[in-house]
Amino acid sequence: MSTKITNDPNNADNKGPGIGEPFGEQSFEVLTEAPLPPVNEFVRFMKVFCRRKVVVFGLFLVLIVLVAAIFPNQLAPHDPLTINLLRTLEPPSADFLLGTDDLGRCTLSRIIHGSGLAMQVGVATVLVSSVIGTVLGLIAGFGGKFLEELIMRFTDAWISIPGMILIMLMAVILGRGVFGLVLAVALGGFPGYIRLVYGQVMTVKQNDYIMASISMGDSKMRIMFKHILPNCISPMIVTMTMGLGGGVMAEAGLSFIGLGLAPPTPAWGGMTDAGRAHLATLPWLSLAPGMAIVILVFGFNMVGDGIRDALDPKMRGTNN
Amino acid sequence: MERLLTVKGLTTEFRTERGIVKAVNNVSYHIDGGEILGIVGESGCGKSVSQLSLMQLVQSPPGRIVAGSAEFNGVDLLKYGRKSKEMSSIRGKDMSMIFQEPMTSLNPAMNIGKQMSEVLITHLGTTVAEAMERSADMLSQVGIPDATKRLKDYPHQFSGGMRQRVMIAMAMLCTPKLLIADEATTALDATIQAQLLELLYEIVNKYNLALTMVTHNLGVVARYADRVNVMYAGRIIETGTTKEIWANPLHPYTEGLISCVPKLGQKLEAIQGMPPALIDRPPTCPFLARCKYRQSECHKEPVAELTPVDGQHATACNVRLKEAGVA
Amino acid sequence: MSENNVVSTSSEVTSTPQTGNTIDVTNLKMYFPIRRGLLKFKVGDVKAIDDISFSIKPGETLGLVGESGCGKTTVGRCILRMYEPTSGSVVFNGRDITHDKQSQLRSVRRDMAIIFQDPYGSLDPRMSAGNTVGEPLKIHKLTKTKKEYKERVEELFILCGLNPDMSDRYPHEFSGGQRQRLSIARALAGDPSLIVCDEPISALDVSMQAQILNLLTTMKEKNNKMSYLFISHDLLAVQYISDRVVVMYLGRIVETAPSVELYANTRHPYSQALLSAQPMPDPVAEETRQRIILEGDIPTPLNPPPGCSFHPRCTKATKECSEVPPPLRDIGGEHFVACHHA
Repeated sequence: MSTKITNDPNNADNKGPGIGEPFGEQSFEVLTEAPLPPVNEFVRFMKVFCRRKVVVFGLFLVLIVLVAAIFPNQLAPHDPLTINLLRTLEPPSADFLLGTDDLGRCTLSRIIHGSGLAMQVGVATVLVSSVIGTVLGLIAGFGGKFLEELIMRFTDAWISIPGMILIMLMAVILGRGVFGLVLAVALGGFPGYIRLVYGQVMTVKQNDYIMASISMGDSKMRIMFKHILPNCISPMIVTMTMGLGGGVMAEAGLSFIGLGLAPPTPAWGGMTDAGRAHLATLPWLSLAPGMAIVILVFGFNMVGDGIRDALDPKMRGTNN
Repeated sequence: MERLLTVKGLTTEFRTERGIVKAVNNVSYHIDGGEILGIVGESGCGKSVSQLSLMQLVQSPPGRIVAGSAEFNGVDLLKYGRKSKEMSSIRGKDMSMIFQEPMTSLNPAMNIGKQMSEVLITHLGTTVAEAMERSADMLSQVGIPDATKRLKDYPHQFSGGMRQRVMIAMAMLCTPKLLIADEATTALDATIQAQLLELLYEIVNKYNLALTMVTHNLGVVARYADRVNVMYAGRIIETGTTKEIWANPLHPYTEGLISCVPKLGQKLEAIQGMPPALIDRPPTCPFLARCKYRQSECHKEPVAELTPVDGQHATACNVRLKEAGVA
Repeated sequence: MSENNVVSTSSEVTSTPQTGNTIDVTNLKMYFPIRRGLLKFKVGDVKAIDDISFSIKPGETLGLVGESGCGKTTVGRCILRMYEPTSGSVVFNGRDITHDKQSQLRSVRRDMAIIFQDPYGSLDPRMSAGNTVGEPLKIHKLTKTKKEYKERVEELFILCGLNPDMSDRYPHEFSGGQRQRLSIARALAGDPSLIVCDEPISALDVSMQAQILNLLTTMKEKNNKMSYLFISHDLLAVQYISDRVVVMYLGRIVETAPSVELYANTRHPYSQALLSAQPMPDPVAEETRQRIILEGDIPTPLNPPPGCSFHPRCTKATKECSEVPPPLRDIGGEHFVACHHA
């Protein structure tokens, strides 16, 4: 047999050992198995993410709000705080696209300026509650029987308190600043993250690779951070994205019942509340900020949905 | 024995976004009444898909039977639609299939008696009482004690081996002409597997059925099959009687497969490499990259059709066909 | 194997007798309590392992066969101290590790490794192949520089027939056989004296099985002090790779003998049935071969039959078998069998 064949450029299949090399005798041939073609994780992620149009639309909505939050002064036609008592309660017009409120402030400008707050509160609450939840969840899942019982029973108790009442109570205690607001909403949400992380740790712990790590003499800490945490990340990201909408809603709810930020700071929930008195005659006063809330929450939820699909482990490793 | 099933040029494709996978590629074979045919090969070689294609049970989409005919009992199975009345009346009546995992083939929320009698009522139009009686009779034939009582049990109340017995009983209810066992005993423990294989063998002999055994276990084929089809990368690459194939394996893959099984005191000869991807295959022999007998012509010639060398013994290896002076 | 290849790593040997074996298991029992109800009262025990003893010499491969529920996997995990045995002792390289705490065990663990059945579950999907293989090196700080680490990982890849260029790929990009090679490479990284192979080939295709078996044999040829505990239900594979074989049934050893002896002169009715249940890939031999088909299912270890636990399925069973559990008797030539009638 000749070596000519091995070098045959037309032979795409020839990835096995060369002709004339003994098979099995010296079993250290490199590349006895042809590698599968590489998969670009990011490309695959984007492909799945973009497959559903509604998800892309959601991302588009979130991006619009994000732009508004970053450049409120450039985008808003008027100053959101300037009171103009000569032009109160005007209907939408070329001058004021969404009309004015009872102090003559431009509704559109106030919505644009409120977007920053909505975003901040959403992101901050999710970050705070997920960090607390992850730490406690990991401890509960990996810190021994006593801590597990303690944390999980505490979580059960915490969850049994109706969320809004808890948040209201916290808001009253912590005061009406952004900090208090974020903390109140975060404290209402963190037990959910504890349960999520704890459940995930429990599932990941069952895997053979954790047992393999233990058998190699790996320390608990290293197993927790090298193996368990990375495998908890995907469901965390999904829940966090979904949680952004929840944070925005909670903030709006608090503002609506008057426990949000003190006026005159433009907040979507507060604006919806302020327009309530004129709901029958001037519905846009409440509807406009209400719609802004709907758009942002819907956007966050759709993005979360898309990420969930794209991170689905069943899809991993495939190009479709 | 008369010819029961003749498959010609069966080709089944799966559409994936990477391309079209030819899971079954131009497969032709036959099975006679009362014969046991073994189909062996590794995972992904198309042995299961070929059988599912015959039963019209391939998930569609993404699967699609693109060519071929399968004459069973005088009718072409592949002409019928997946959900056609004709196909449903053949499935489970003239042709039955036993799968590897009985738990997924049985309805967990319905007792065994009801599931079994339903088969009889739909196919043969028997009364409920008659169906129950026949079901109980069948269960005791497959070695389930207290059959009448156990009709009221649900699938989870049976052990793995017993569940597979129930599956055999269910497949046998309408005394089909052809039974297809798709890795039916693979998931079971050795001694239980032996029980079931022996049971299957007895039943097939008793009712003079044809049996297609799809398996990766060469031992099972060697013990029970009359004839063997060896499949690789969607094709049958060798066929013949079991004894012929073991005594004189023609295709290098068959030879490799037989020497892959550990034997005491002998150095194990593994087939190097792994099975090829089935997307955009060149027309050359699919085993080429792993073959230790390949010659320079192999890289140029398209893969040979399954050609008889000696009676029923046929192979699709160009080199061996030339040596035998056939091609 | 001679007595002088003692691979002892431990200095704090207590009253353990020095046998020179890699593993000495004595009267090992592993019971898993079953708890029921709100207050989790103990209602019984699953006797996964019920009083077994064996040892593995340096360089020896011990095959452990049996069907599901016979406790073979539990034996492997007790030896690696994944579980703390209920009673008995496990002595590893002369050091009694039966009741050591996990923190005390860390230094021992460098010398032992495990290969699992499931090539998908045994590799962390979020860790690259290279880092997976190099894990033992990092844990036990076996390499000093980054360069040395990289070289060692590359060497392990080549040793196990993998392409080192793929070391930054993730496990899902490998096929089943390649993943099992990764597992083997990881197991070999710490240069262990014992590898527990827990059904390493059961999930693979026939041609991959042969490749992996060959890889395992070659690795042992390279390091003749390394021992395997090869757990499998595949008698042909066990016969091929093992020097000695232990047959287990419901948590007990029913027969143990050197591989050749066991297959040539099978004495226990269960071993005979197990051997006969494994179809030989040879149609001519199969034609004349005697088939022993056992009746009934495998009983659960929760409630094993009294006396010899095999007696309800045994053709030779007498009254004695249902009352007195047979001891493991020496019948000469390192062949032990636990049967009243063998």
